[in-house]
Amino acid sequence: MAVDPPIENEYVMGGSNKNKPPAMAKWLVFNFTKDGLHEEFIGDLQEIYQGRIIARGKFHARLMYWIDVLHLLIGFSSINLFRDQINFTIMFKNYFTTAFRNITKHKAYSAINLAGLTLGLACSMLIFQYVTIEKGADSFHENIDKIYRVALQEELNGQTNEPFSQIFRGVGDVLMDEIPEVENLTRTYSHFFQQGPTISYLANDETRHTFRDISSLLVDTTFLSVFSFPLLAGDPATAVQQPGAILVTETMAQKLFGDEDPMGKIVHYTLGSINIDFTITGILKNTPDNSHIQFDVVVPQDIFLSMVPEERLSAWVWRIRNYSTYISVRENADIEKIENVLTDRLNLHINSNIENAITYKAVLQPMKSVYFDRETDLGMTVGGRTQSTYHTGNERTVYFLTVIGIITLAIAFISYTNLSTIRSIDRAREVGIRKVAGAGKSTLKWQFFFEASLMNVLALSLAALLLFMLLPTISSYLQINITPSSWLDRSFLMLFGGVFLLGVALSGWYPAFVLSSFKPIAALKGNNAGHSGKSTLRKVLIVLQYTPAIALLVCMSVVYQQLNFMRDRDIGLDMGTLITVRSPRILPDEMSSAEAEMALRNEIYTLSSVEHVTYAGNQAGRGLNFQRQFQVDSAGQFGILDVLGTGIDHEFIDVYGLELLAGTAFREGDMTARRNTDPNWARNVLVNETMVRKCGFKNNEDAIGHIIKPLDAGRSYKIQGVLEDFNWSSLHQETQPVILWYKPENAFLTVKLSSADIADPIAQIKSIYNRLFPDEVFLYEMTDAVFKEQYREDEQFANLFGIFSLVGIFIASLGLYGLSAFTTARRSKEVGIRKVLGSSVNSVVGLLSKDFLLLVLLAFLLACPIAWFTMSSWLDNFAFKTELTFIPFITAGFGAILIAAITVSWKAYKAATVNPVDVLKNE
Amino acid sequence: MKNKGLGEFEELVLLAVCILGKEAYGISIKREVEKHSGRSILLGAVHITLYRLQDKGLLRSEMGGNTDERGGRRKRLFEITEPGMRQLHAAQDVRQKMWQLIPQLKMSM
Repeated sequence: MAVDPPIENEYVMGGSNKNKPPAMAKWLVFNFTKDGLHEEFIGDLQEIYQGRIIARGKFHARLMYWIDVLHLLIGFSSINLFRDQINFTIMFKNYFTTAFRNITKHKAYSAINLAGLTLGLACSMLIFQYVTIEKGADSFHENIDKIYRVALQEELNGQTNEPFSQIFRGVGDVLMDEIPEVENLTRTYSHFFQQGPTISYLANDETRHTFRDISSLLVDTTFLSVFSFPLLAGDPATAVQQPGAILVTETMAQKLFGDEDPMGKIVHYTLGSINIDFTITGILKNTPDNSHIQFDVVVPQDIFLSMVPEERLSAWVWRIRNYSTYISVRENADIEKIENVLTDRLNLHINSNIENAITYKAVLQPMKSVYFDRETDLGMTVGGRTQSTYHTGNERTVYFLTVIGIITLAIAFISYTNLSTIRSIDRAREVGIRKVAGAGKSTLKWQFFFEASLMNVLALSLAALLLFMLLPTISSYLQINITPSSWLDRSFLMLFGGVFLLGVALSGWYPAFVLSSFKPIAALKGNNAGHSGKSTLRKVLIVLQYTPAIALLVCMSVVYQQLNFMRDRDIGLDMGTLITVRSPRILPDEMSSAEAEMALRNEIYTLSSVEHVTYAGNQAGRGLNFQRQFQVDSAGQFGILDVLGTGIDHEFIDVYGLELLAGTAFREGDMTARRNTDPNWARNVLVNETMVRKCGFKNNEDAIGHIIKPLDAGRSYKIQGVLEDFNWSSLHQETQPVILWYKPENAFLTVKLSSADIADPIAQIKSIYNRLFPDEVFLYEMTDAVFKEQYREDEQFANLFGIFSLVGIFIASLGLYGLSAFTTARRSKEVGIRKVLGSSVNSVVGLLSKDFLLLVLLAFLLACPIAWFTMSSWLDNFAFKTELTFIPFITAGFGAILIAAITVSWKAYKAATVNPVDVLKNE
Repeated sequence: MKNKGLGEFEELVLLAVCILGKEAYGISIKREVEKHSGRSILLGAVHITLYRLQDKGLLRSEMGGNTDERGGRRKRLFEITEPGMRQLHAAQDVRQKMWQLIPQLKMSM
């Protein structure tokens, strides 16, 4: 008996590292060839497949495998459709012939039908691929169902904050030592805000390959036992355990080592004052885009911890929150119980260290949900990236796109159905003859259903071909990594296959039903057999395909409007001619980083093209790295106020064009605002207006001079001045309270140039940089480009949306064109007579188009409320949103009706301008 | 047995089976034919021909040993039969006789 071949697990992104032949092709051979033949066929196929992989690569081998399988199936199929001359197969052959003749006979009609279906299918394939990739996030971890991320939720005065996943190191110890349900645990630590370590390698040819600000994940040695990041080289059981080990991704290895074999090579790792030589013990596969955890290198953190003095380390354990903690639990573990036990222990440990009124609650977040979790970490997510090592997806986008994918396909299928039914009149005679010759209703239904399926399969093949050719272009335009290999992904096949089959069933079944119901006598006499009432349905279908098409169009305009609104909005920062340079970290001997930064600033200032120079702790568009909870000595009623902040220098305000609303700005060398060791000393800060409002001060002046205290009893701050609000990150979020303190040297140097011509100044700055810091890599970015980067995700969404709504309206119009062409052709005699009797071209065109246009208008009216509700809920996503006005509705509606009018009147005009003699002479 | 003569491809396959002796199975036959004829052939075509020749009684087959590269699966080994051999000879005879009837070819060469 046939035994199903073992089913392989494809890696989500399709890059299976096992050299197994396509499972589905194998399955086909098993199930559709005679039993005795399996052994040799599969064996032959396997052997030749291996040979081809070596000779021509995997893609060629898989393709040829499929071709061979199909060829074998035709020769040896156990069904043998086309061989046995029994009645059923003869009929089947006849269906095929008839279908083929019909397709070729009405070429224009078939082309319209096929084009609509192909486009619809191609679009939905693309969308579903994207959706499956996003939905399959992190599923490559073998234990994903058992893995949880530990987050803490704070409660103060009855107010609960969003959970935070950057937690105390001590939480891990408690989990491991005191909770038996925890099977395994791993903590990761990473660097915030693009300030990663520098890694370098001295190649064989004595050149040093240096890369700075890489994303580096410091991990516990259990990292690879909890997670299943695939290794290309190295042993997952020991790679992270070895002292002084570092694991790098494929791309990083390629960059560092070129063609040299990376395993065992020594790389130099610099982070602040830490300089370590690491040995490469493993090459990791590049992290897929849909992985929550992202990195260039993975380093066991023991070596860093061993550098910290014991007493400082033990003080950190319950004080600094900078670890992401992941656990895998035992079978059937009671999650709620773990949370409760952990909550108990936590409050015990933390309260013994810090005196305050916060209570903590532990939350275990299933790993499956983490990728789409944008609430945790207090909205610190910037463009899907909290830190350079974490990535989250947008569940809303995925949801919206799924709906759009289904709608696009539905429009295509409705259009198809409509065209098929109207074509039915032409085939009434065929049906009549078939019935007279003895065909039953069900036989006919099968025939027409078969035709519909044939069309669909043809369209599907074309769609696949189209996508195959266009995918590289589409992927780079949308900046989404989609390859044809993800078509083999099981959940994609299920989703797309399901929708496709449903569509085929519905769109094929209806015409089959209509056509097979013709009465033979009426059909043969030439009456429009049983055709009454059909036009109502046709009208309904037109409305049905135009409503979503117009709604999509309206939504698209709103989406683009919002995107432009965000891009163009005055965010309070003037970033026209700013460039940001990263401060040097690999310095010449005996130079402190403050000295280096000062030297760089002073040198750059000598350039004539430079107006202002400022140091800040962060870049605009990438968030602020300081975050703390505050309580203020004012009458303000609030629970926990989350405040962001960073250090700036005295020129910050000038460079970014900010306005000081009250108080005083920082001055150069402002010692009152600099570090001080006195515990009662409060650091002078500037705050933004939002901070003033949230703290409940009466007005800006009222805030000046007030002391604000953080909840964890750290350093206090004294408000020295108030700045107007500015948006340091995307407009998805509301403006948050911000404090800025004085720090004359910092990580990011922003230069304001006097003109938009930046090429020369950049070259000058670069040469200064390279002269001062010969070992460092000069890295600069356009400040506004960095800021706009955070809208990349929105742009992707808008572009996907744009493509699909245009395709939607195109398919709908294609269908309408087919319909109007057909009805116009049928009414050509009527038009002839009307013209003979004196009708003008205009009135004839109006007559022929009016019905259709009214339907499109109706569709527009139906589409408006749908689009309105959808878009107002979508806009709720944004803290700063564009007004939902009539304009997009009017433009989209007008556009759709215009397109429809052109489509319909094109044929009508042709019919109306024909010489009546030509159409009337035949009778 | 009906004697319809051999098709060109059938002849090539039969010859390949003869050349390969004990090692004649789907892929080795495919390779042998490809090697000598210089054209690329689909595996399915070879299989279909092999089975047709077997139906005609020109080949016989049995299941042979397995190897790792085949994923542990056995192969079907083909062997030429008496009638098969006769057909091959007959085909060659016909050709040789006909070749001898074109004397002018020798001159043009």
